[in-house]
Amino acid sequence: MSLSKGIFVPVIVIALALMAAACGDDDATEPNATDDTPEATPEATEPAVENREQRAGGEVTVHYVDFQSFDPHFSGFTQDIGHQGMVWRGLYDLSKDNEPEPLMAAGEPQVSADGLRYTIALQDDLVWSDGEPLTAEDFVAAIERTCHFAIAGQYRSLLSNVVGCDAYADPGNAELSEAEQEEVREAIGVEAADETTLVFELQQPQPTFPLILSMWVAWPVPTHIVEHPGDEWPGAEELAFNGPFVVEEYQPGTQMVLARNEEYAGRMALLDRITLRYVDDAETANNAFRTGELDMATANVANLAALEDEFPDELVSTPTAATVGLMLNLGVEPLDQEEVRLALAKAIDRESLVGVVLQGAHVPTTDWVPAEILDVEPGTMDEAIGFDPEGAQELLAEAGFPDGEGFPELEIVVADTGETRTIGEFLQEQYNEILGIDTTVEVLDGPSRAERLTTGDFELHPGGFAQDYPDPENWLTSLFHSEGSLNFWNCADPEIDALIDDARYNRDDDERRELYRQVHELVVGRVCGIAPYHHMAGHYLVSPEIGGARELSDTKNRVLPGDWAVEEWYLIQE
Amino acid sequence: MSGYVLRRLLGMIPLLWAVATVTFFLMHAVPGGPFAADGERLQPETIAALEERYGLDAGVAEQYVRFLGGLATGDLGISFQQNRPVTDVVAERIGPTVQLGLYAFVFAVVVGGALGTVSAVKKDRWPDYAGVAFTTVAAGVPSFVLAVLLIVVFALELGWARVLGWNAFDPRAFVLPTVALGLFPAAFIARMTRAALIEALEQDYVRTARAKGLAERSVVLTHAVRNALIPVLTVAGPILAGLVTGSFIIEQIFEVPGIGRAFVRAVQTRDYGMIMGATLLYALVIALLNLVVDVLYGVVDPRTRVSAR
Repeated sequence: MSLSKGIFVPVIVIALALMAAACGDDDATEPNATDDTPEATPEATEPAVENREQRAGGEVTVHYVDFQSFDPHFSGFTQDIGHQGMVWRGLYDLSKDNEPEPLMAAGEPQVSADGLRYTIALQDDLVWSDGEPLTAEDFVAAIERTCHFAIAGQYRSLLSNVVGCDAYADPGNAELSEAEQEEVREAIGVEAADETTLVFELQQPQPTFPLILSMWVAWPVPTHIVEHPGDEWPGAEELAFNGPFVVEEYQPGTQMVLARNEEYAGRMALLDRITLRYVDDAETANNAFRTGELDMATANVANLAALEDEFPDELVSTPTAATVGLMLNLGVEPLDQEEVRLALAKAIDRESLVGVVLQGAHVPTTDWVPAEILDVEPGTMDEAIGFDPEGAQELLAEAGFPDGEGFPELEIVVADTGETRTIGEFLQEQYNEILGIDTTVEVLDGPSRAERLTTGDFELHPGGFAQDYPDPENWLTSLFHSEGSLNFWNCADPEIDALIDDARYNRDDDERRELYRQVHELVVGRVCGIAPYHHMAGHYLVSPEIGGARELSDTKNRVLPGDWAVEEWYLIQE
Repeated sequence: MSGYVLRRLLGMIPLLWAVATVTFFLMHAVPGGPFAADGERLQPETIAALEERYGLDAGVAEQYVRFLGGLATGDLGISFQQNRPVTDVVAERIGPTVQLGLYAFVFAVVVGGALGTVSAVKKDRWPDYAGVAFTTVAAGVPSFVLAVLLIVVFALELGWARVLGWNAFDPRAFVLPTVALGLFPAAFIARMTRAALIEALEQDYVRTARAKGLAERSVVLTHAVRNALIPVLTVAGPILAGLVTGSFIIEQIFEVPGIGRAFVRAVQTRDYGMIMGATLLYALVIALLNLVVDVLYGVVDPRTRVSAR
């Protein structure tokens, strides 16, 4: 969750990318697709990009980060999911508007009256890239693999609501006999009723379940290659794929070459080939973009102002679904007092922080959950925690610390990155100037900082969270429920707990969302652990010859703009 | 001689054990583990399962014993970062690192040797002054600064070189990292060669050779340089070891897929297996190259042959 490590799904968008606004610079050239242009299959989903002026086929070389695991049922890192999403897809796929739309599924799921049974029909005649049939069993295997005790799927918790998943994930199962393990596996609430019909059994009604089925944890397993859910995942060149591309070549640490999958059941990819060149350093990638070795790269945020001048047309900036703020440990005095937390939140000049200190690289905010996810206007929490020096001073006085007198010296733990360290120093100065309180800044390397956070051994910490899936549930339940596994700041508010409990399994989507809006209001309004100050932005360099990437650049970006739908990338007609 | 080499090789076993032991415990003493950061987004039971999967649920002492057991059979464990055996990663990445180190070494020896020889032969004349000035500057510019300068001039401005990747057979890919890594040792070798050769050229045997009417080229190359090589050879081994094991920054800047780049990342992410693998590899390389140099002494200077001791 904290953003300093920079390589997990929730986080990478941040470390690698950071974008800004700008899309839609569509140089109008006449559509001129030739007969070679791949056509969508009859079952294809609606195009995410209309009026493409694409040239048929072609190849691009783009900046990427090598994966740590190519196994979607194990992975948790953004670059891993980025790779995997190019070659595998699930029953549903998120649209540009973050709605799950049928992809391998033939239509919407049939949900039982109690909301606990989902029946999903697959499209007919699905095949893997090697021509083998893709059946319901391959989707059953995906759930079983993610929940398997030996796989330790990093996002297994997304499937916790599937009957028996948690039980199968218990590491103690390794001690059971094979027959006993099989028994536990068979108790998982997923089965193939026939070759094209899947049935899921849930513990609680879950309106977001189709959304979960669009995620990597549920992407199918080629069971003709990986026969048992606990088997080792083969090398990238030894697998079969059901996504828009297939792996043609993989050189660890150097590059992966992807070729269009002619068997893909969705919209056929427009490019013939994509080469993912692995570059660790953003400045090196930017230099390679300058020399033409890369057609697309993440921008070096430290050099953003210069890049804006150098690449006015190529620089693409996009807000990400990631929020950063000051984390406050409610288990530490005097942060257990709401007035103190509010004073600290109101003493943050977000405009100066983002505009001056961070050179405009991000978007200042008082919202924790991005407004579009919550379906509200941005800035609804400005009054509650927006910059208000006088208000902050009054609150601190109310808490018993007029002009900061008697306030204990607090420690701000920061990650050893330029940006976070600067934020720590900025807060230190502001708190001293506005509230008259002293703080110290403790700089730690990534793993040490993470350990301090996750064990609750901190007072103040600039950190954040990036969403796994676009729903307020993802932003609020685990982080702010008193029993939430990611509630490192000891938020324990009975009113918040009650609202989350009501919202979590509420099948009325409008009501559920309204309940989450109320949770958000309380979480931010009471500063129950986090005082948000900016949404992250991702910044990329995109060759003007590439289409599709800018148009699709949004909060679903993994490493590059629009890489959640690479089938839509194309070369613009000259 | 073979007995000497064997003794030295056997002596490496306790050396590697000591390096492994110190590194292992230092590494585990540093706060935060490989999955510390994952704790920010994963359920505690998932972290527990991950630790069990990689054997991190055991105590440090047990992990150490297990590591030594694996080491004895050539198994360095799993890289948590890459989720595959460390030996695979090392095998894959050793090539570019060794190639880069050798290229830089050859560059350093050829350029440094030539510069030093010219400076000595033309002592106190303009080629000497130019050579000394060049080596002084080259010795003072850090490799990462030089690397960036080379990229800006030769890749971005002139377009003669590539920014990305490593290809031992493509000069557009290997020249810049080679120069960036090899220039500092080239300057060092140039200064040593110059000093040693100046001293050699003042020896009686050189005067005798000249008196016999030998051509100056022959006097310098056949008589003086060979003797001047001994002190240079003394430092050549450590220089080569330093180039092979010290290319972290250059590998990072030029995106060379070598051990150095993997090592840096391993340290940042507490990838225990990879840290141990790379450290042991570096220790082995240094020990082996020192042995090679000791053996070569005997070839260049018969007085130092082991059999003569």
